[in-house]
Amino acid sequence: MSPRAAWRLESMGFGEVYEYAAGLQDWITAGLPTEGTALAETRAGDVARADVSTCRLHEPLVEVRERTRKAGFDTCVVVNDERVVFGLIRSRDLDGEAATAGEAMRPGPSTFRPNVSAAALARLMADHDLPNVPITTNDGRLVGLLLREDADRVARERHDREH
Amino acid sequence: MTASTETRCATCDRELEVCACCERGDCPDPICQRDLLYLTGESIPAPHTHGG
Repeated sequence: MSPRAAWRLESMGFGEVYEYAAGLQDWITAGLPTEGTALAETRAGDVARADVSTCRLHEPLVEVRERTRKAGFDTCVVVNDERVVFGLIRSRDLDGEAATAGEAMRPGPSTFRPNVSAAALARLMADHDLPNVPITTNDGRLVGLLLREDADRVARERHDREH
Repeated sequence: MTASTETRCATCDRELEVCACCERGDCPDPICQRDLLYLTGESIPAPHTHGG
């Protein structure tokens, strides 16, 4: 919270009030506990597939393709040893002629934070015809792959609750 | 004279190389990075230039 809010809480009698320098978004993204109705809805990080197929830049594409399809995915996320996302290999590129994952991938894909509403991402994925989007922490580490079908399900459930 | 093929953000009309969401130059509904962050709630427009 802001220094002003922290001082105000102390003036109201709360003890051990700290300023979290990185801010609220960073707190939520790190998966730390939250309260309040605005944060109660299903977030991308809640439904993203953490077991998505991943590979390294120099892996042979033929091995990546086999492993990815065996795991039931049609997209592989190219990461480094720290799980920082370098690129995506989507279905068409998986079946391409490239020798390595690094050659086949589309570098620097748009990523979203885990605290973003899954329903909001469902709309975006529909509008932009995206089958999935990678979910990463603020420092670019892979949390999981949000599939459009999962985001659509969350959006439908939210719609049913509200109507 | 050829027709303009430049991509512009559908929200703020900013000129773009590609859509910030799908990274396509021919996206029918392109959006810039700033408006994408607003749309997903990852960032909020500053209500006052002088801060809170």
